[in-house]
Amino acid sequence: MQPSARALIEAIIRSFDEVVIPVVTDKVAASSLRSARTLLDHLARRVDGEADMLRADNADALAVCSAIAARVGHQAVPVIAAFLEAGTDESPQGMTPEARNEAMQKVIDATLRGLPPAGAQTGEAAEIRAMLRDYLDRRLAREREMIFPAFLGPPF
Amino acid sequence: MRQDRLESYLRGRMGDVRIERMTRAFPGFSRETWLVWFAGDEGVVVRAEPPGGGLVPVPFRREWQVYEALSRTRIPVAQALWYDAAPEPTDGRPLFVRQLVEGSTYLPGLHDDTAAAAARRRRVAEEHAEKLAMLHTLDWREAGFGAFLPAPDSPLDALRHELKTWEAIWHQVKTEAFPVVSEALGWLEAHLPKAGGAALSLCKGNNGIGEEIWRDDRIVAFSDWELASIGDPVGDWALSQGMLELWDRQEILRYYESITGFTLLPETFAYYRVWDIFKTVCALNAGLRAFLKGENTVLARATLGFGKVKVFEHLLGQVLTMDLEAAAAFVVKWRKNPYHDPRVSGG
Repeated sequence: MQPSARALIEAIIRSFDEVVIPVVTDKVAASSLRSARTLLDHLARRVDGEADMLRADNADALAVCSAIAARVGHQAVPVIAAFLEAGTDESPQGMTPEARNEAMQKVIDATLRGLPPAGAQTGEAAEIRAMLRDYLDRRLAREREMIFPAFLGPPF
Repeated sequence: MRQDRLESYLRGRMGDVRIERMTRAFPGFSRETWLVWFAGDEGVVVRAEPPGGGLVPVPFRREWQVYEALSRTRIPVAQALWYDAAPEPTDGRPLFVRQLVEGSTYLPGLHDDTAAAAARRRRVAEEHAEKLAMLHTLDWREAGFGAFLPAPDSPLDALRHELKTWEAIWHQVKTEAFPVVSEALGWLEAHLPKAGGAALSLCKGNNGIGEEIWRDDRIVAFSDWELASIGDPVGDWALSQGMLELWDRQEILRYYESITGFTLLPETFAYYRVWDIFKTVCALNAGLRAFLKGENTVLARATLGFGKVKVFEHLLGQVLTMDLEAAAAFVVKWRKNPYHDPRVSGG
């Protein structure tokens, strides 16, 4: 039996907490250790959860974009339409889930920025924004475990 | 920075000086800062553009211009000496030099749970309010700041001016698409306060403990001017990083208003609290660019530029459905000043 990646990272964190951090007095070195510990805490959460999170998020984003295009027509959402026309496979060859996720965030961002301001919108624009906002809420909930509480301590 | 190279460089500028000791100021992540002592307690501070550029996406030279202009005013600030666009000791990274002012950016023991520490916190809060009042009542036009700091047309226009300025910066510096932040910018535009601002002042940006040079619980030099701007002074209070928690918040603000004659509007104050989250996201994420390119691998670039940015993105995501008052109360709960953490400040 081998230790999991998460178990190894957590062991490193424990050694930092119990052995290294208490005896480091130099300010810069102590700060670097705090940063390293913070990043390790994040990695411990990320190493197990990131692949599933990306898979779920990519599928969700794709479904939302497809639903919007179907609802309002491709010409009303040109950035989404161009993305969908380029290929909707879950993982097109040569594109990692991370890269695909980043590309989809660009599409969603560009679509939101192309809408009228929330206070001045009506009809389709309001519907598109609501669908994308719902998706963004789900996205934040998905990644929350990897961010909180890892990054709540002193960052340096 | 190597001591021998710096000493040779300073001799070329200052004559027969010898460095007795030098240390890098902590934390100094935004811009590299070296404290240099010569014989006889004299010394200089060398501030340099870090590898890969500064954390804050504002031209390095502008901070020098602020120091230079402030050196001719009554505002407590270190005397500006010179700017060098391509110096040898940093392999060409720009630097500027100012006189060393003895003191500390931290106030160890300030947060002790004693009556004496509580009384001290009140004195420190009043001192900070007095010095901010001095800064905010400076005639910045007369002092020449209008020549290099873009100014809003009026106090009423101050917030929109800042929003548009930083929105443009954000789209230039962000490391990836942040749709939640884009929506937050829409929220910030929709919630711009309708009432006029308090005044148009020279504002410092981040201020308070961890930023200024303190000696005997007095601010003897305002330091770190990379976020200086002409704007509504309320913004500086929103960026005062825990100074309003040192004593009774309302008492501190009333004291400041009594000195300046300004009226700080609660709505504007609330707005700046939320605005600060976006501006911080912008500055910290800008600093991640150099980390991603391998030009600056200091770990704090990742914890700040990625980790804290993610935390603040989540906060902004929750703000989207709130009114201004609720949003301000919400973000204040989450906004902690690392300099008030004894693990960082050392006590």
